[in-house]
Amino acid sequence: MKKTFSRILTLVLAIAMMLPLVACGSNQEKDKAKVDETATQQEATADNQETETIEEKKEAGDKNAAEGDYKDTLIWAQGADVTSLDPHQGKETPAVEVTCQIFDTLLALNPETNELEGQVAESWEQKDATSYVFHIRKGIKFHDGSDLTAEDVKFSLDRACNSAAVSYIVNFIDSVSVDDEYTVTLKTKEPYAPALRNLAIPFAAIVPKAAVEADEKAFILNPIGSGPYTFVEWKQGDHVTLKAFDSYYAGKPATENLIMKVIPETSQRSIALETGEIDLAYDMAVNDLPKVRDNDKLTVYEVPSLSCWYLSMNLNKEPFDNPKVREALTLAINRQALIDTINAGSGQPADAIIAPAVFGYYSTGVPEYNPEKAKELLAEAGYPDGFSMTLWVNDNQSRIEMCQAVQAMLLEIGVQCEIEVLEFGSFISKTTNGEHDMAYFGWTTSSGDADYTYYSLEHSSQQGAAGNRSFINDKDVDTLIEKARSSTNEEERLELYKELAIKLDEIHNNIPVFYSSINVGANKNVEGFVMDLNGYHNLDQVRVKK
Amino acid sequence: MKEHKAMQENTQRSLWQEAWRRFRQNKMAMVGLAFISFLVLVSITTLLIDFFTDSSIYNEYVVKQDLFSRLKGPSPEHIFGQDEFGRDILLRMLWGARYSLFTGGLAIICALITGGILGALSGFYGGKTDTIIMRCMDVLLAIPSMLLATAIVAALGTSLWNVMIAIAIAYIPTFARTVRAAVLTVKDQDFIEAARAIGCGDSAIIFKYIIPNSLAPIIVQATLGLAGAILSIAGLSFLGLGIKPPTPEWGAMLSNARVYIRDAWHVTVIPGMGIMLTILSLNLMGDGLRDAMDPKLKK
Repeated sequence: MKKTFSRILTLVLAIAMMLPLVACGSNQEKDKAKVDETATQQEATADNQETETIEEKKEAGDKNAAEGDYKDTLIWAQGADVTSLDPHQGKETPAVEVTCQIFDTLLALNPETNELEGQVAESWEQKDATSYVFHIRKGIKFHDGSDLTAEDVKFSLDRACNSAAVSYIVNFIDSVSVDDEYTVTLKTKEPYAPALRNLAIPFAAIVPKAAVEADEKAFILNPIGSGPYTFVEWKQGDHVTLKAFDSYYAGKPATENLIMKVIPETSQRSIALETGEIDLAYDMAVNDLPKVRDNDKLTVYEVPSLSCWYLSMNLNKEPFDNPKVREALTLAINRQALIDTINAGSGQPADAIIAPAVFGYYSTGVPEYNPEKAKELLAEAGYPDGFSMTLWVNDNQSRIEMCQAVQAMLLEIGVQCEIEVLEFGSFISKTTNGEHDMAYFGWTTSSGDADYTYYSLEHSSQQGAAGNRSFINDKDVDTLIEKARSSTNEEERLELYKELAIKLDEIHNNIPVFYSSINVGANKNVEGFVMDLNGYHNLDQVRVKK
Repeated sequence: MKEHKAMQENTQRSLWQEAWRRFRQNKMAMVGLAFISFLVLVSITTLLIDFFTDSSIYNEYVVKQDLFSRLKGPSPEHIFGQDEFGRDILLRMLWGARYSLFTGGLAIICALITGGILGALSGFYGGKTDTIIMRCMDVLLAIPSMLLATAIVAALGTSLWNVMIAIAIAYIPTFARTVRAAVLTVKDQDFIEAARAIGCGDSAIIFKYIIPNSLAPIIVQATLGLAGAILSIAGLSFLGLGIKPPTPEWGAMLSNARVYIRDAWHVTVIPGMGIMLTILSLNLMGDGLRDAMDPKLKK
């Protein structure tokens, strides 16, 4: 009997050990991108000789004085690996989280004030409705030691426009012309209000013309930017190493080395944070947050994000072409309950597909949870006993859980909902073709301007791949979106977006569910960390106490 | 002729009785049998409950969520605690038993029939038939069964039927080989020759004389195969390729709960234990059957 017991115990232990194994990502030891470290260092020292005119210089000096109290390496973990180190290709958040340390943009959005600030451009002015002039900061160096000039800016923006991945944020540009070495003029095709905000998105990164033209493949493997950190190494599926750029225009970054570790499983990230293996854990699972908060050594940074999670109904399909059915489904969802339970209290109930932090947000009031009224509406629409439908979601645990809870809520009003879990690629391509009944999406208004979302998701010209997967085709909505995007008067735009929000709230083509929060788990020794609403956290001012 | 048949049945019965007698002496195998019988009983009972209550109990207690008491630990009302949607884990385990057992069982039966026929043909006729069939089986065997099943499900789409088909296909070569080996040992025995001498056709010889006489290794293989099939179903569901929510399939329950393992152990451990005990029982039973049916051990 004793023998049997120990046999069973062995089995239990074996199974317990299998669990994390199944979830672990593969550590491919592909030495795909390794840079000649010494060469970079030599160049960096050479750059040090340059005199700097920036006032941050003094601050940097102070930091150096206190260097002994701080670690020289900051390690952060994220859930997925970099897709491409080319800023005009890798637009996925895991890639931008790394490339935004390497590259700068013309303008930058201050995450604390949500105001635009100059980065590569020292100042800028709008000449008329369709042209902007940018004065490039003098003395900016790329990591290879070359100067950043107007030519590089023109080249970079043209390159972004020609990239299928990121052109949608810069395709308002008609032409970029070089006036002199440090001045460029940008002409837009038509008046486009969010132009400047779009230029602050990291996909509009400035890259060195000479290096890219010389050897584009080498550039993608060993990216050269003008940002606070230089690229050292990328071991695919494992880590990226970055090193402080001594001649960064705004002063040398606070920490000498940055290491990004890929830890796909969320619980593993929080364990790594608890053991002190990493200093920052991006995008923690909501159910891990209480444990991190309760830990004396750790803290959680959490801010409302620019992302909204919503259920999109296919208006081309029955019964979703019936507005009463759509309203019924909107009323059937208990948003607060979803947030309090599945999301462990993280996030806010949504009443529009753009988040409150976005310019142009207007609150129409969170739809009430009223299953009784929903049933009545269904009966009026001719479905007194409900109907059957499918709900599509991509294979992500927390999204599937959300859909399962929605499934149960829809059952309350008699709607039989089957959940179809698809791999992300086929999820996107099949919803693009309009094969879905209803699908669960998340959308981030990266530019912080309502146009980014409303144009992509609600304009009839954007059906399918561009984002309009509810296939809404409404003349009034189109007109409002077009007017608002071409007006440069902020008051007028807000007014138009208010009208649009009310209109969309009547159409109910998308059911906004909740605005997610964006979180980062951190060791309490981390100083100077500021959350970016898109998740593109800048780390040049962050340091870790020993 | 009549007498011969009667005699054969007579010896056959005593052979089974002999096997059962020896099986009973193996305590571990009996424990396994008891657990599997319990599961079969539970599956049939829940099926009957669903049938007579028009699934209302299933909808009310197994599927209905209680979001505000999610992940609650074991309590007097919920002995095994509540899952990530506040559903009672005990009830979900009971209702989920059928998916593992019946899907696995059906898959094995399909594999057994197809594989059995192929194996019998190739063993009986030999020569070219044998070569063609067995090389095809070798090709199938070269692909790991779990990978093959995953590929088939990915190609056909995720549903209970496709999982079953995938697992059945993955198990065909194993049965084909077992049956072929059994047929080869029986084929040349005297009573087959006698049957041929009195003018029996090929199909009569295969189905009347060869298959009944080579059942023992096939039964053992089927029992052990069932354990593997159940594990494969749980594995496919774990990977999200199995049964759709909210169906209480054990593998899916395990997979969905694994992110909560640090907050609520019971949500993962209970379905995991369920799968483990089932596989263990089947393996113990299979071992017991093998020992019981091995003619060399006959006293």
